[in-house]
Amino acid sequence: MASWGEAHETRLIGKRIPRLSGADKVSGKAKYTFDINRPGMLYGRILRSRVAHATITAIDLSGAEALSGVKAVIPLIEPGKRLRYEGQEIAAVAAITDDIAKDAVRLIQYEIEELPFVVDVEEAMDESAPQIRDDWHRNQSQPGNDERGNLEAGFAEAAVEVEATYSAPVQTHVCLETHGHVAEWDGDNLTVWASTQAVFGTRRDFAQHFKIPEDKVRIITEHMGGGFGSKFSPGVEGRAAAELSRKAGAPVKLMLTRKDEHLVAGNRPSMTQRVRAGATNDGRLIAYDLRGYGTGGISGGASFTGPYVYEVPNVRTEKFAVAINAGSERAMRAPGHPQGEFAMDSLMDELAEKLGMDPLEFRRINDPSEIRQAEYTLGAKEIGWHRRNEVPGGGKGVKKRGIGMGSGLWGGGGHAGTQARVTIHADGTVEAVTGTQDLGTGIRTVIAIIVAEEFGLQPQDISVKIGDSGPGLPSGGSGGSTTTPSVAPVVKTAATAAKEKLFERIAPQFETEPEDLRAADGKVYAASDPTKSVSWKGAAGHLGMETISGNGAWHDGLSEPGAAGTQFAEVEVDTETGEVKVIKIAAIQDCGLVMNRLTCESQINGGVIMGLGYALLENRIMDPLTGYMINPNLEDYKIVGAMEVPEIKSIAFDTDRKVTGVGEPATIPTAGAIANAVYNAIGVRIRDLPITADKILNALAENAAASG
Amino acid sequence: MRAFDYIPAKTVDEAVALLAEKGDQAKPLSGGTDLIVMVREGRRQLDLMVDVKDIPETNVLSYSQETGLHLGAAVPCYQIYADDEISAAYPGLADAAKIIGGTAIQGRASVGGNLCNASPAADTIPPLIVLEAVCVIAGPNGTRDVPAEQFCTGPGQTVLENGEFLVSFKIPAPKNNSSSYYLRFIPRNEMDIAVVGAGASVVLDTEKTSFVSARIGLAAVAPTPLFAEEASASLAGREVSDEAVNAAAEAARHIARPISDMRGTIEQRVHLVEVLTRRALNGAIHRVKES
Repeated sequence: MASWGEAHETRLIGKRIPRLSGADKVSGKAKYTFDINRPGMLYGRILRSRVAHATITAIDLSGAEALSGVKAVIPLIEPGKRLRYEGQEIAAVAAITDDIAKDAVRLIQYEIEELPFVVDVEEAMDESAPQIRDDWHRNQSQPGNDERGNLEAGFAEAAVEVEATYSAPVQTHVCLETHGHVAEWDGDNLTVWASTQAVFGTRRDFAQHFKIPEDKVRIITEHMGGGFGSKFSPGVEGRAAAELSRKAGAPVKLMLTRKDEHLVAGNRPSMTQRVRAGATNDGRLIAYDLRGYGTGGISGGASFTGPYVYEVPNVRTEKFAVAINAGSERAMRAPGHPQGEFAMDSLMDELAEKLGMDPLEFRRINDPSEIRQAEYTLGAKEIGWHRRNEVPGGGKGVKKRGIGMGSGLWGGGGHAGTQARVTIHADGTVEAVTGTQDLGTGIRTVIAIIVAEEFGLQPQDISVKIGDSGPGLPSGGSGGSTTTPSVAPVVKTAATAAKEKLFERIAPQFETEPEDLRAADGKVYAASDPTKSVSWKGAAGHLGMETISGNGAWHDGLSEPGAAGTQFAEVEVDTETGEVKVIKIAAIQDCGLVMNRLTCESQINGGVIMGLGYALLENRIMDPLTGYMINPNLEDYKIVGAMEVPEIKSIAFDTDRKVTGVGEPATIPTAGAIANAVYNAIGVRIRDLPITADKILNALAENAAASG
Repeated sequence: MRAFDYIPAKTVDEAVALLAEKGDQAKPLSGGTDLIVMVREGRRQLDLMVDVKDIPETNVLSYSQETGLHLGAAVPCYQIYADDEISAAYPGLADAAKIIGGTAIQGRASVGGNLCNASPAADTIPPLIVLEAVCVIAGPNGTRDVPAEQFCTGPGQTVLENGEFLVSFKIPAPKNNSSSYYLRFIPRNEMDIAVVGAGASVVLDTEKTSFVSARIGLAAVAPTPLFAEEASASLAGREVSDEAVNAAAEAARHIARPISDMRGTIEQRVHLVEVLTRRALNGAIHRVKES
C-alpha cells in the first residue's frame, strides 16, 4: 500500500521548495509560445466581426491574397451564416511580417446584413428583444430546478428573513499570455507550440480536425502564461494557425491580441439572483428560495452555486442562462463558485445581523465541515475578529475600517489517465517524464520533489520533462484543480518502481537483499549495515550500459477530493471618496497534503489577488447602442495591480496525507469576505459587484438621506 | 497603420518649417507615450512626425530662486521629481510627474507632451495652472506666450496653429510661504487615468495664518482642465481655516461640468471635486506650515 508517509518522515514533501523554472522565468530565459520563432515562420492574423449580429453574405479574400508578402488566406465562416458577436472570426491570413498580415486583414472584403442585437441581460429577457438563439425562448435556457425539504414549512419556522438581489458582472480570464499557437507541418506530421492547459487534449483536437492519427501530432508547452480554464482546446485561432501553415507550407505563429482575448477567449458568466432565506431564532438556516440567471454570452453554461457551503434543509432554486450577443463563456477558476459565494456569504451576514448574532457564530452553526470549523478559529485569530465593529459603520473618522469573512468549497482530487516514467541512467542522472503541463502552478517542481524524496536526492537533481506529447505519456488537462492530485500518485509509483528495480539490480554488490537497501542523503546504503554505503552516482554506476525505468500507475489511496477554505478580510473605506483599500486577507485553505508549501501558498496568493479584482475592479462593459465591449484592454478593464495587493496571510491548512489540489478554491471566498468587511466598515451593503467607489458614495448618500 | 515620415529636427526653426509644410498632417513627437499609441491604434493619421526632443530649447531644465523654472517641453517627468531643488520649489508639479504611468513611462513622457495631448484628465495640467506656468510656443511668426490655463481648447484640442509647437514652460519662482499640491482619484492606486484631479497652490502671510492668494486647478471635470478662478479668489485675504477651505472647495464644485463615462459618473465627479479640492488645499497649506 503506497502512502506519502507521515509528515515528520518527509524531507522535501510539504517543505518550501523554490520553483525549478523560477530563475528562467524572471530572467526571460523561459520560452513561452509567444517566444517561439521558427525558420521561415509566418505571422497569422484574424479578421473579426465588427458588429454584434449580422448575416454574412459574401467574403472576398482576393485583395488580401494579392498583397505582396501574404502567403495564405482562409475563410473562417461561410456566407449565409450568422455573426453573433463582436470579434467572431471571419477569415485569417498569414504573411511574412505581422504588419503585412495586419494590412492584409484590412484588404479582405465582406458583406453583411446587419441584424438586431442585444447585449444587455435584462433587455435580452424582454419579449421585444431580438431572439438571438433559435433554440431558446426569450433568450433564456430551460431553467435548472432543484427542490428539497418543505419550503413553506421552513419559512414558517423562520424567526428572521432576508430577501435581496445580488449580482456580479462578467469577468474575463486575462491570461497574461494570450491564447496562441505556432504550427508547423512536416509532411503529414504537425507540431504545435501551444499556450494550452491540456497538451494531450489539444493533440486529440488537432488530430480530429485534420483527420490524422494522434501520433502524427506533437504539442509542446514548455512554459505557458496562465489559462484559468480558458485554454483547453486549440479554438478557432489554433485550428486557423495550423490550416494557414499547411496552406502556406511554412510555420505560422498566431497569437491573439489583448482585445481578441477579452472578446472571444472566454469569460466567467455574470450572476443575478433574487434570494429569500430564513433562519431560526437559534441560528439555523431553515429555508432558501432562489431564482437567478447569468449570461455566458451566446452560449449557455451560466450557472452558479447556491445555496453554498452552509446547510439548508428546505430549498427551492431555479437557475437559467440568458443569451446575449457576446463571446461565449468558458470555465473560469472555480466555475460558478465565486458568484455563488459572494451572494451566499453576503446573505449569511444579513441574516446574522437580523438575528443579532455574530456572523462567525452563525456560520459555525450551519457549516457541516469540521475542517472549516477549525479554519474559522485560525482565520479569526489571524485577522483579529474581535476588532470588528460591533455596530457596522460605527468607526470614527473619514476612513473607516471593517472586517468580514467568506467561505468556499471545491472538489479537486485526482483521477486516472496519467502515465509517467522515471528513468535512472548509469551516470546517476534521473529523468521524470509525463505529458502534463505547468500552467504556472508549479507541477514541474512538485514532480521533482516527489522523485527526489524517493531517491534521497535534491529536486534540482531531477530532470523533469513535461509539456510535450512527443514521449507519448499522456496526462489530463489542468482543470478542476486536479493536476497535482492526478499526476503526483503516478509519479510517486513510477519513482518507487524505478527504485525497486535499481535495488534489485545492485543488491548483489551490497551483498544483501533489495528490501534491505535505502536511498537517502544522496547515498544508497544497507539498512542492516549502514557502513555498506555508496553515493547515488556510484550506485547507479553499477548499471553499466543499462538504464532503469519505472512506469507509474494510478493509485486510489494517494489523493482525494474535497477542499474547504475560508478567508477573512480587513478593509479601510474612505467615506469621502468611496475608495476601498484592502488591508489584509487571511486565507486559510485546506488542500489535503501539501506537496510544496511555497508554490501552494503562491497559488493561494494568486487566488486571493484574482478574487480581490472580482470584488472591487473587474467588469466587462458592453455598450447597448453598438453591441461592443467598450473596455477590451487592460487600461479600462481593470485587474489588480501590485499596489492593490494587501498583506496576504496564506495558510495551507494541512488536513491529511492525501493530495487534493488548490488552484481554484483559493479564489472563491475573497469577494464575499471583502463585501462583508466593507459593510462592517460603513454600515451600508453593496450587493452588486464590483464594489466601486461610486456605488459606495451613492449608498452612503442614500443612507444619509434615509436617516435624515 | 499608415506609413509616415519621421524627421528628427535639430533646431526650433527646422521643426517649425517641417511642421508648417505638412500642416495638420504633421505632429511633433516628444516622449511619444500618447502619440505613438494613437498612431498605432489608428486613432490619429499622420504624414510626418517631427521629433523635437533633440532640440536644445526643448531640453532645458534650469531653476533659480530669482527667475524660477525654465522647463523644456521634452523634458521627461522623472527629471522633474528626481531633482530635489525643483521638487521642493514646485511640489505640486512633482506630485503629478510622479504618478503619470509607471517608472518606465516617466522616463519618456514629458510634461510638454502631457499638455499638448490636451486630455481633460491630464495630471500635470492642474499643477501647471496653479503654478502660473506660461507656455512658450514657437511658430512661423516667431514665439508667443500663452498661460497654461488657456492652452487647451477642448479634448485633444489646443491653441497651437499649424506650424506651431510647444518649446518650453516658464514657471515663476515660488513666493515666500507658498507651496503646491496635486492629487487625483483613480480606481486603482497607480497606472490609471484620473476620475478627477485637483491641484492647488497657496501663498500664506508671514505668520502662516492667512491666505495671501491661492490657485485651484481641476482635471477630468470639463472638456479641458479648468482654472477655478472664483474659488481661488475667494481665499485671498482670508484666515486659514476649515471654513475658508470648505467654501473654496464648494465653489470649485460649481464650475465642474463633467460627463458620465465608464470611468465615473457626473455625480461622482462633482462630489469628488469638492473632496479633492479640499484635500489639495489642505495638502498645500500643510506643506507651507511644515517648511
